Amino acid sequence: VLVKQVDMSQSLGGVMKIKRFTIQLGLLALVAAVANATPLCTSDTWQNYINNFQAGCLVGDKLFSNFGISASNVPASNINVSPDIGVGFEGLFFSSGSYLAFANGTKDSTLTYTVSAPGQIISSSTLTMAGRITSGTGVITVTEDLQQGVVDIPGSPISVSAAGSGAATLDFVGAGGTLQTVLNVSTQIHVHANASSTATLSQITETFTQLAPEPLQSVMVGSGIILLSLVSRKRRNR
Amino acid sequence: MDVYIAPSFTGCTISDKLFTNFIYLNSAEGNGVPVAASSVLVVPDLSNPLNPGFHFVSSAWVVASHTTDTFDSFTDSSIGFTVQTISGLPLIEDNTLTLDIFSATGSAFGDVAETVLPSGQQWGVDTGGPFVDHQTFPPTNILVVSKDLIVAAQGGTESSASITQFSENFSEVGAPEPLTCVLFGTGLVALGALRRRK
Repeated sequence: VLVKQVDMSQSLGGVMKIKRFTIQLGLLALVAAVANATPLCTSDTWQNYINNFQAGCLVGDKLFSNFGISASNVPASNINVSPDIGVGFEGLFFSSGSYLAFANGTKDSTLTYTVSAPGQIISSSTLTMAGRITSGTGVITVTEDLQQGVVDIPGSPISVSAAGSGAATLDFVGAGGTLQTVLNVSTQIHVHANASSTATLSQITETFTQLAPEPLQSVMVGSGIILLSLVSRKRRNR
Repeated sequence: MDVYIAPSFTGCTISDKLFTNFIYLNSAEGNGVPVAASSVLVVPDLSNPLNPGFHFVSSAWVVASHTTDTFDSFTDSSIGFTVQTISGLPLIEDNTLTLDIFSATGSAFGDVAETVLPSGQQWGVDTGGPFVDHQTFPPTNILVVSKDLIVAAQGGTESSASITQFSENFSEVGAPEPLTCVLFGTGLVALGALRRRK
């Protein structure tokens, strides 16, 4: 008898689940329809991002917009950009061999854009660079300034360099609990080679994660709860 | 490389590792010519199952400058990808970057620089040395690799450089990760205790 009751309640729950699922599906379709109006970010030059995607383009579920360049002796048409969708993050992948400096040369740029995650909360940003002082001495730094409006969020800016770490992450939750929905990102690139030296930087990634439960942990907690309920049910049945 | 970056490419496996999310971008200035993805050959390296990886091969990573040039020349390729263990266990613990076939004369060089997440460590090999860079990091189940290759020659000099092949390998630890052991062990103990109670 008990078993039958359980079956019935499960099938009742099943009907409710189907209803909820239909509503969720409808909502999803609505979100997708809205999102469809926005183009996907493609692999292109920064100049074409500035020209074509001012209103924004999507990388996964994140919206990138307001592209700009300033204080630069590398033209935006020499900077390549590609969407970067990884496991649990989305962002932009920049590449340009033009950040190459021979004896006493300097290359500088400031790249700006806005990132938002409609309906979600951005929880961290990770900056990486791939570049080297290939001979002699010099400086390579990339600084990522993260702002809400025009105010730095706690922990911003983050930076990477040839002399230090090639990657830096700012976890907004760890930096005073200021979760973000819209971020203004400003990235300063500086490459300098001293006399009879060479420095090259040609790759930067800037990626963002949103708040989501860690899959493995939730699976473990979930299976634990199921196990507990099974055990307690078994005890009651006895 | 063009096959690896195609939207239809969902990933590939070498030994116990899954490679996904390939990105390839190129640029060039002066006498340099951009190297198309289709000109870069990606060869899985299966020679050691415990140290799988890739050879990257191209005859187009070549640049030359002349005394009459008033500009510097380069050709540059950026490569990005993600490496995961298929088992999900944190078994990747080192990365070796090797410059295999190259040349450089005068004021020119070829260089491969690389940064790996999550550790943020940087690797570098150069036609002026070092030719091999091997570093270890805390075992992980996922690595995000950002790699940059540049071949450059200084303007106003008679110089040239080339990289024909470089390689990258990821080895792994042999033993299971401690946390998994603890979880598995606790489960066994709990099962034993339950059975005894019955």
